[in-house]
Amino acid sequence: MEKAIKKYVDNNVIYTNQFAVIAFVVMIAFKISMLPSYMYETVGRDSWIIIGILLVLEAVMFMVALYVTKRINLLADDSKWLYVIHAIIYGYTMIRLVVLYSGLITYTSNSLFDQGRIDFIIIAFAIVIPYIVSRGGNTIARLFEIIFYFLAAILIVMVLTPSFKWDLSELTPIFGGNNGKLINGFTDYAVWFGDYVLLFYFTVKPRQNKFFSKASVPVALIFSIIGVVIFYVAFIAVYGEAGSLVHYAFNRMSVFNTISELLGATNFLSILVWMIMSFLQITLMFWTATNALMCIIKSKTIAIAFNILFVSFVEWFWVLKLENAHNFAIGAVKYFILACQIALPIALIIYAKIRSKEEV
Amino acid sequence: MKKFLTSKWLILIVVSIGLVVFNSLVFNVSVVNRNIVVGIGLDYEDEEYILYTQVVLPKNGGVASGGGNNYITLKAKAKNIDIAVDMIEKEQGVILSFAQAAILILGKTMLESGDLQLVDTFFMDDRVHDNLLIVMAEEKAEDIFNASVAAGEVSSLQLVRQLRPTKAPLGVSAISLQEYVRNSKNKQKINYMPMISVEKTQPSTDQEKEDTKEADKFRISKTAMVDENGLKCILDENLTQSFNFAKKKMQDGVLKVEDGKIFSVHIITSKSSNDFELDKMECKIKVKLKVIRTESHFEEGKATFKLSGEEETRLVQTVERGIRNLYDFGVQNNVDILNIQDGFNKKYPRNTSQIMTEDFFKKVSLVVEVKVSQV
Repeated sequence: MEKAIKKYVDNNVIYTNQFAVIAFVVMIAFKISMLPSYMYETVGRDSWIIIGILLVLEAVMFMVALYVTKRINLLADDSKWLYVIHAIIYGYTMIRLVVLYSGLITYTSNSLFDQGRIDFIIIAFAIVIPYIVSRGGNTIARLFEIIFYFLAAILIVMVLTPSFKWDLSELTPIFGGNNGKLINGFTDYAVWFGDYVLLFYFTVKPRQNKFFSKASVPVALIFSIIGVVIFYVAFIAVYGEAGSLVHYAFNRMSVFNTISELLGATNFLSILVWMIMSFLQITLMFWTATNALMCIIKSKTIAIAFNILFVSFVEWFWVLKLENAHNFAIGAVKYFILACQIALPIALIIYAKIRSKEEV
Repeated sequence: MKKFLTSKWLILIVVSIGLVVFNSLVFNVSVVNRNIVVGIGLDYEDEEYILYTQVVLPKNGGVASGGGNNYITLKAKAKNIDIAVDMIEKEQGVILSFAQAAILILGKTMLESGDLQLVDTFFMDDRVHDNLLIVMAEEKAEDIFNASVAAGEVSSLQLVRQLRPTKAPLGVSAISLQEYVRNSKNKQKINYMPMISVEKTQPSTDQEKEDTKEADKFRISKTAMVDENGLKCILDENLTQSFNFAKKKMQDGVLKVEDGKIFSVHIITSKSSNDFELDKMECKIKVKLKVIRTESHFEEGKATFKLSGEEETRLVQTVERGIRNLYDFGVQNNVDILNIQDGFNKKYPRNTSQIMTEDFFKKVSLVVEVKVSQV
């Protein structure tokens, strides 16, 4: 193994509580922005139930990811079988990255600037993200950890000062709408799920406090499931059938708190929270894609350079509008993404079992 | 050299230069070249829309000053809102910023003949706040903007203050853009908004005050009922109060109870809920009131703010009768003011064809249940 890569592998060891913080943030970030509107368009007022079921399944997969990352180190393992896994993870992550990154870019362009130039925003991100990625997984985990307290404080302030006028009758009748489309709710938006795959390249080691170490991940997952489901319930009760017209759900919903009413229309709290969460998740995706490519071509520098140039150019020339990304996400790629979301954890859990038997 | 390239100082310098350069590249418009819109108005005339934007004129050309700001109303007439906005921007050489807009005033002609789908245009614009209030002007939206309200306040912001007091009062049926658009997407598309009239105030009788000029004041006591086709009917002061009891959550207001010895109660809270039974063709409206008598009276030799048993019964009857009158008024005007059909439709989605017939709500028997608790 190249000396630089060997050093880099050591930079990807994180603690269980850092894993929990990452899981909490990535479970929430992209599910509360554009997805509520897409989901409402497809399954209507039952979308909160569909998202709840999908999140529970995702939480189970996060536990699988935790099991795997405690037992194997994908970056250090040189098994030939893993090349296939790396290639699949690479394709999977790049597809999701292209779609979700367009959400972050358009959000930044629309919320921070009046006439935000997408090209300059891409350049700004293209400088920062590779730098963070080059520092390794534990730098990213620390960033998540540092930012978490800040995010939690803002989220608590927003939750404790609501002022929206909701109508809970908008949630009824449950399963009274177009039930034929419910199944589409489970499959169409696969690109917005499956964040556990991003964590497979970490190596997790428990902290000395065993109870805290064991409880942190399930607690984080439960909080994020409850948080997202409540958000969807509130979103449907506030906007009803107009929900499909609301592009940035979190940004729009955050208007309804007394602090925003005092400050005016620029929701700095929500902009800060969502931009930080989504930026960190996009960085994590870049890191995963870089690791997958690096394990195949054995060069971290080339992997970072190629990924950032490829994704930036795709965003620049193709994903100029959110609709393009959305149409791509709900096209044929969703089946590949769905297959990966199921097959990858199963394959890796089997591999981890085999590895642990070999070690015995 | 390698040490220099990896030093934190170099990173800090690069980041600082980057921040300055990026700021100048993203074409941010200076506040001097912006008109911050606080109120929007729409009238409809000769098959064209007249857009009014009440904007802030920062004193000293945008430099912060100790005093308040001046406001002007800019106006443009066009076939649609986008063209009207463009016309104002070109005439003024500025960009209109709608992020601080607090109110949308629709003139009577706009509600009668204009396309109300235009309200969606504001909703779809991410820069417009979802808390934007929507009201109807008794005549023209222009009248509201031209009103010279007391204390030198700009008319649209004065109106917002009246519509959105600290606690939701009994007589004002305020509605935000978010609520309006949500209601307009329901099956029946019945909506409401407060109707504003401009009245003259009497000159001050205080001899020491030199200012004896008349000023305008806004009266907000009526409610306009609209659907996708426009204005359906107008609820007077009493019907507006009953509408608020039946449909809204309130935390303030005084209700006068007549029919006998007059007394009044202060409403601490008022909450309502609905229940629908298709088999019985019954709509039950439950109103929970928490009240206190506004004036004390003697009961069993003691001064008390508690209502007597007879007064409580009369209060219940007044609220109940008001809601029944509201329902009857809706039947007469063929408007389902209480959204009875939507309620049934949500509970019985499989019977939509039966429920969404034109006169279904007229066949429903209305049960009103009022519960009063005293503090």
